[in-house]
Amino acid sequence: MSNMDNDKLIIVDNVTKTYRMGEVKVQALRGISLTVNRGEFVAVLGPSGCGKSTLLHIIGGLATPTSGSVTVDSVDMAHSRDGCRTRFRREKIGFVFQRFNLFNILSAGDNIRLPLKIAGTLRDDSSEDKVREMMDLVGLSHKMNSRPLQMSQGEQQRVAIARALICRPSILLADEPTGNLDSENSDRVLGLMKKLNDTLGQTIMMITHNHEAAAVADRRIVMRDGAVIDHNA
Amino acid sequence: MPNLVKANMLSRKTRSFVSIFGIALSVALLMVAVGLINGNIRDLANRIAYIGADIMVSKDSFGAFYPNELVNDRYAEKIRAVDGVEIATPVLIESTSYLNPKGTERIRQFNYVYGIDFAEYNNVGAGFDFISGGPFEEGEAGKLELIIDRQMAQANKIRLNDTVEMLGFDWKVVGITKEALGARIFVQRDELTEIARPGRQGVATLFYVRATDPNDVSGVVARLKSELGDGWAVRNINDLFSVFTSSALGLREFTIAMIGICAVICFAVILLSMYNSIIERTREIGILKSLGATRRFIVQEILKEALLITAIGIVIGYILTYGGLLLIKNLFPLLEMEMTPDWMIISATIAFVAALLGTLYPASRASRLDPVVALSYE
Repeated sequence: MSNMDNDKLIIVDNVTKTYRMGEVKVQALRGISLTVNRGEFVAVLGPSGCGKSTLLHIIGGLATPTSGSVTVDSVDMAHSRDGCRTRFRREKIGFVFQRFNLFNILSAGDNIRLPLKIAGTLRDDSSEDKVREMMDLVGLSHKMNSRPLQMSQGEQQRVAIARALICRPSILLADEPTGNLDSENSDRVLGLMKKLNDTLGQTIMMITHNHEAAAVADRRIVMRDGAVIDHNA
Repeated sequence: MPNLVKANMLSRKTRSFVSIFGIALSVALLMVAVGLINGNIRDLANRIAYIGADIMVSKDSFGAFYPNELVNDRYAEKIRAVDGVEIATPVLIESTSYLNPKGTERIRQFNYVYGIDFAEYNNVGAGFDFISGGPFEEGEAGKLELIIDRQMAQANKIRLNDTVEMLGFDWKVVGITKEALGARIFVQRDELTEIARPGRQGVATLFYVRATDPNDVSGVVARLKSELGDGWAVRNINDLFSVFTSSALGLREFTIAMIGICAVICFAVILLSMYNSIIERTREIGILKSLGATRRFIVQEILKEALLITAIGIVIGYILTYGGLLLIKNLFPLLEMEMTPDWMIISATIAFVAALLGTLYPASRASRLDPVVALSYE
């Protein structure tokens, strides 16, 4: 593998995804190919139903493609077994969702500790330092013991970002992270993601249908009807 | 530390409470039922042991606890003739459903009545220890006499020299004993025969036997079996608890049925509770999967919750059982109930195994959920 290939964190090659809905086949992705470099902030832009989320789920190992290959951080995600993809998600991927997907029954701090518990590293000496560091990074160290429902939606999304980053993933996959936020909170969350990319070199792939949100990314990939129509908008 | 199990239980308090209560109730049901049966059997066996006799001889036709076939009391002579037998005394056993001071309300209460030959019965073992009154007196003709134990006297508010109603006749209480020697109520055998078995004389339900040498009881048992032949039961008094539990009609089946009911309730409670919980938490399971949780992690979390619910249910079940024990003792002083460590362990094991089985399907279903479908679950 050349140095140039080493820089390519995500390589998607001719990926298709077909769903069966009863007797009907729905082709969500139609031969998509793209690459994302290490340290890059990429926005995938497109209207609802164009296959953006399906692409993100495949890259994150939550789903498998019908055909084609997906390599993320040198791991073949298309042909890996479920256990391998689960471990990969745990170690290399951080997800941020439109609806935050926090556990409302846990405090913000415990939500951030959860990936460490799943990874079996919660009892490490450095784990509490990591949690504090993440809360500081997202500017919520004073909300450690607050429950998500006691926080604003912008704060909840920042907690979700801290949770996604606690295990130091290779890539942050954000699915419409500002979709449920007002403009002020959207700006804060996007600013935070930009800061993570600029200062920590965090690779980010963000799905959005919002052109303003996509503007903070280094590069915009545009999709329509399950296909990429522009790799560098 | 994020404790999903505790957080889930606290956030769904009603479901947790109902599940815990279901487990507690089934454990308490099993322990109260078995405790009542074993308590009363042990009480009966202990009372017989208090007599101080070594051997019980009867026809081999056990009903609930005592034989239901009467024999001629002349067999006492045959028993006495066996080598190693010192005393053999016939006892006629009948049951009564009430015993109350005359003129007071009849309260239904099952009791055995021993018809005895006082002098011989008193000699077969330690003998009566009267706290008031004494043996049967030779009173006025037609006046029936009765001896009861202290517990019966207290429970039924009966005092010495009271006239009580039993078996349709009036009886004078002539003695109250410290311990119940076999039964709680004693009358003279010939009087009991006349009342309960009119037209028959010289009959007995069983014979209590004392061996000359207490170290040779098993030898005497063997010789009595040989002498009396088939159709007779010759039992060492020390074995009576196990004899009663194994020979009493339907007891084993009843215990198995109670165990089955307990297991089915625990299984159903946990299955429904955890299945419902998995449906409610589908999205949360999707989140866990997106965070890289393995199937094993998800199964473990669900198992931990089910086992915690079961453990709390078991402890509360023990508390309910103990409460039931106190209540029964208070309401029915003559009923015995026991709460033994072995049945605590058995009921806990049944609850845990049933809960474990009840968790398998929901846990397996949760672990196999498609993360994308789970994340989009509303």
